[in-house]
Amino acid sequence: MKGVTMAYDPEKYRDKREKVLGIQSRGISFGILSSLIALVILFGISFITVPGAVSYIKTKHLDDAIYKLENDAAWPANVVEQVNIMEGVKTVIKDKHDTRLVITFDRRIVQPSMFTVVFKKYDLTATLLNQVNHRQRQTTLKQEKELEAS
Amino acid sequence: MTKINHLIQVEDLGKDYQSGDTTVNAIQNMDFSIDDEEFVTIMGQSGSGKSTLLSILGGLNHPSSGKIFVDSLDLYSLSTEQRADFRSEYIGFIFHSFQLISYLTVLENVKLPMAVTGQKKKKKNSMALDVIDRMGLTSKKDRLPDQLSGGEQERVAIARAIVNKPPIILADEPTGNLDTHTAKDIMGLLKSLNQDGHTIIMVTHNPEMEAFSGRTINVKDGNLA
Repeated sequence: MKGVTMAYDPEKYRDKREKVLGIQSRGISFGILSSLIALVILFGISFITVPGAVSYIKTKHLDDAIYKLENDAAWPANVVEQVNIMEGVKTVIKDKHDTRLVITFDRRIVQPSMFTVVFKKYDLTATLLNQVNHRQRQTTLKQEKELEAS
Repeated sequence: MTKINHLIQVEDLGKDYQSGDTTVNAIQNMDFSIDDEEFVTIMGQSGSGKSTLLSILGGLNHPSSGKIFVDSLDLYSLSTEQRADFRSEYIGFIFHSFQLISYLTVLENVKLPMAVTGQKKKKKNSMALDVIDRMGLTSKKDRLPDQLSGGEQERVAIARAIVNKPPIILADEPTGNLDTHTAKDIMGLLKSLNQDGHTIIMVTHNPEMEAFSGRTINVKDGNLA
């Protein structure tokens, strides 16, 4: 025995006292642990689903109109520029031979007939090859790319 | 409000049992205190109430009256769950019959009090092996209790009592089942634990063991003598 006993010091066992009184946590409780796991799962699911949902909302009103000029002529740059600045037009892309023009547009704002007006203004006779939902076309392009790769 | 000046403060403690139509006053109006790092022996004849007192100090036995403060905690105003946490944090029990689990090995017995501490398995193992080593039982850690001598079983019981590093060790007749030589050996061990900072409260009726402690509280017929 030390011979001299210690005077009572309330600070000495403060940690233990706080654990007993529940002031200090004894580790992660089941509730907190399950909440954390639930949050991780929710975050994971939202990470997968939210970008798709946002993309869908952003593109659901978009259509692609694909045009070709007579005799497979190349599309003049000024016409492309003119279409590009029209209200409701998102993008205008020429394909690799400059012979096909793909116009992505918001069908609530603009219609292919309005593109035809512009083409006529420049004395161009264009044929509308296809009008398809933008997302559907993107999916088709992706599938075609995968097929080509395999 | 009570002013707390000691690690353990017992105030006007009483414990009654009902035995048939008779009320037995096992403990009556006890007032005493125990300081941090003291080695106190509670002595008294069989039936004097000393083991009852020990169980009340350990938060195992609700008193009929009075209060016990341990580290400022009013022990019996705590909820049952808080009192269980109190025992886990503050108290190491050593029983005279060792109370080892016969089908568990030495290591498993020592790890038992850590089952609810929320520590990692590796940490528990290392803490248990440390105290087993301190008790000189490393080579016997995989043995079952009945493959050990009485002194060795007592050492396992001590290892189990100190594995959680409790500030207070309550020992109920720790040498009651041991021969004189082994008993002194065990008392030396308890004394060294006291030197390491554990407060030890030991119940015994053996005056020879009293010499190892610093102070004696004598109990007679439920009163301080």
